[in-house]
Amino acid sequence: MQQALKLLALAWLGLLSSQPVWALGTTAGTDITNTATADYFIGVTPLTATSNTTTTTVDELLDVTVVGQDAGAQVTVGPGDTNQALTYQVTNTGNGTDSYSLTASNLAGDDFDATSIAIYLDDGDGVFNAADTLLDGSNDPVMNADDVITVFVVADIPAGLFDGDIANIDLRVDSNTATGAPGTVVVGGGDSGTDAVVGASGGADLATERFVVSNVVVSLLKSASIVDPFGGSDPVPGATITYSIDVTVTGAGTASGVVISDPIPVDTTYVSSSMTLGGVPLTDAVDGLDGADFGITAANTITVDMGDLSAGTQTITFDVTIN
Amino acid sequence: MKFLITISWTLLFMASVASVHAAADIRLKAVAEIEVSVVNDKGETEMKRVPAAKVVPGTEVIYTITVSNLGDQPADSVVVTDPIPENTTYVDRSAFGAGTEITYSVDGGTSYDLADKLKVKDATGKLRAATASDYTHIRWVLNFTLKPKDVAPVWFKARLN
Repeated sequence: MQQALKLLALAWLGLLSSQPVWALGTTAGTDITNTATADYFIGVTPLTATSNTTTTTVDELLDVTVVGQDAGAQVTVGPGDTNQALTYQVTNTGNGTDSYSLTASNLAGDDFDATSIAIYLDDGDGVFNAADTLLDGSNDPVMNADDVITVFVVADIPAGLFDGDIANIDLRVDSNTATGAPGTVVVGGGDSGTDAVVGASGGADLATERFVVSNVVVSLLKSASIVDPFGGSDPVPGATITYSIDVTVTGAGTASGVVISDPIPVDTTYVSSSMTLGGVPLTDAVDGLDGADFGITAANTITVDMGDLSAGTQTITFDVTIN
Repeated sequence: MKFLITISWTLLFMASVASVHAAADIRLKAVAEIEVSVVNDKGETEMKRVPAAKVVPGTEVIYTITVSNLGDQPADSVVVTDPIPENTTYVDRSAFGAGTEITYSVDGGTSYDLADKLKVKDATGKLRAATASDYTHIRWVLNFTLKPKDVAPVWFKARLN
């Protein structure tokens, strides 16, 4: 028996070096027959001879392919998000029916690990939702040759992460019949009593996708410059203070509905129509011309509604005089 | 006693006459094998042929047909024909038979021609040169008389789809 296994394994290795990879194969258990005939003459008499029939049974090849389905092999998440899904497609690229074990795991050497990882079998709509089945090891999917299934690797994202942080996640799929060196034989392990033979894939495959954190941050930097009535910069009564507020958005996403409010300091008086945004004057009234006003949305306060902002810096300025 | 001997002598004579007329006996033996690498006792790797009993897709199967003349009459115009087995593809240029002309069919065995003369219709209905994957049958025409006791092996390879 061992000798037979060795012979088959070695034959397989010889094949690998010379054969191209094939995706489909004749169904395991199929019988391939061959019968030859010969026509001949004895004198003037035509005669026919028929050979015996040879029968070759097709063994089962164990092969599988896993491919990530998300664009760019990544899904964008926010810190603290739960039930975030990576999508993979699994195909039985062998020629018989097989069941497969699925394992999902965090890779090391990246920025964070996703938590509470679970694998779900899609119900057919291609979207992760409550209709999908949790694969918990007791219900390994069984696939016929050429069957394709969609699975989701679902996990939670920790809090406290930074924009651009990455967690790489592997999905590994293994044939439950055998994995390992191509050509390894499981006698009788195939469909219809055939042998199962580990195919070129090793009976297993792996695909890596990642969660990428998008964390948008808005930060403000306020500065002041003073011009006094005498051409200097002393903070004396009558001096004008020009305040600049740099509004900076960092991160790959959009900060939506940004409103900057700044009450003017005590003992100062707002200089009318002194607000600017990016150097462009803003009106003090609530007039629909811009999203800014002084003292109307909030008393003694400049209010600037900047709307949705993507990465970059914009500067608001306004003047007050020291009473 | 004499009567019995006469009868048996007649029967023997008839049997020998019958054997002269039934002396044509061409046998065809078909064998399917695969080649495997074996490590021999000296640790060297060598190729060995074993029966192709169970085989995975992609394997090359060697089909050998041996024509034997077991009779005492010569056989002329011997033509051996073999369909390329279903679910296999003929391996280009793998056919051999000493003293034979080898032709192929691409139309299910209706007609045969030399490899470089065969044509098939492509998807648009245009004729193109046939390739190994188009062959449905293979034929060896012996250019010699198969005399009594002659053995003529012919063979080809087909890859399991």
